[in-house]
Amino acid sequence: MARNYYQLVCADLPIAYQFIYQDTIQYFKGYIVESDDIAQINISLTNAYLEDNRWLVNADEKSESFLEFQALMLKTGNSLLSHNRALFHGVALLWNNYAWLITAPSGTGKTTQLRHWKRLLKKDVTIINGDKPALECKDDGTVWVYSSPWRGKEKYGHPNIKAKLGGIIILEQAKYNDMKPLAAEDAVIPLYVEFVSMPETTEQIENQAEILRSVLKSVPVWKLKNLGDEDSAILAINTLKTYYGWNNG
Amino acid sequence: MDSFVLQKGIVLIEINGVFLLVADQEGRKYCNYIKVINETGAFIWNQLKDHRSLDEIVSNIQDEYEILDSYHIRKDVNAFIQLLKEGNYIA
Repeated sequence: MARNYYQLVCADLPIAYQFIYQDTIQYFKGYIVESDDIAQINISLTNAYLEDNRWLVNADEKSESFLEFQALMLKTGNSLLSHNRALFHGVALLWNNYAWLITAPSGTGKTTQLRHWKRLLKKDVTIINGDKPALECKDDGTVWVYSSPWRGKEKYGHPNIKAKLGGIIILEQAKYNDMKPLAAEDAVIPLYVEFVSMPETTEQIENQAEILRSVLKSVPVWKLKNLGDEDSAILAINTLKTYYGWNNG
Repeated sequence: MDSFVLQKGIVLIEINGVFLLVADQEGRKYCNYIKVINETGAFIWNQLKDHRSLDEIVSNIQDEYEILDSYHIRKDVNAFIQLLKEGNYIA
């Protein structure tokens, strides 16, 4: 009988998955580990759960294994909340030893921004995850960013990179480029809605709130109103350099 | 005496001064996932959760915010409760 039980490590946490469809494994390539560590989370889905979450894929999507992959993302996002961790919708970049999150609703230009950064900073920037990085709030108040198997259609990202979060940029399309710090209270809603979760319990809702409080306490947030052009990425990079005093580096 | 029954599976959370009503799996059968409310709305929600009557809520708001005008408070509380009813937050 073919194997359908696998373990991966997400945000330094061993998670065991049991798939309904054998070919779901194809989406986890590079993330599966052979480990004797006891899984902290065990995830398996039912066919009813898949049906309830069919909205996660396009109506013309034919692959049931892709639906399972997407539904596993939601279940994983929910499960991580009980471990001071979360899946978050955005692009995660490694630059100057810190992780940077660029977030916005789908179709607002995250991937375009990522490509500009890559073109401008070349080898100085590494993509941690192109779509759904994992966050961990540590006891010392720092927030760490990891990759996850959910990397978007371009599959940007590397399984083994993690970095301390340096800041968050919220993108907004505009007819001009402007980047300003965002007060924590103004960042709550735009960040809350980008958590990859549909909390099932009161505990998960409260945990997600606590994670966002920790993130807002730990790092600054900026709003980048932008045209989606290279100048907007230059503005973002220079703003961060000035904020952190890296202009002379 | 009027009393109100809140929908099960709705959690009031506060993050950096922003108040949200968030629905869990059960709550999402009847209500939106997230609803943003203001601080007074959060106060009223907690009063409703404690099974306070309309008169008690009005009186408690007067005490909490040191407002004498009960007429306008009652009007605002009624409007908020109507909003909650329309969103199925009150069963």
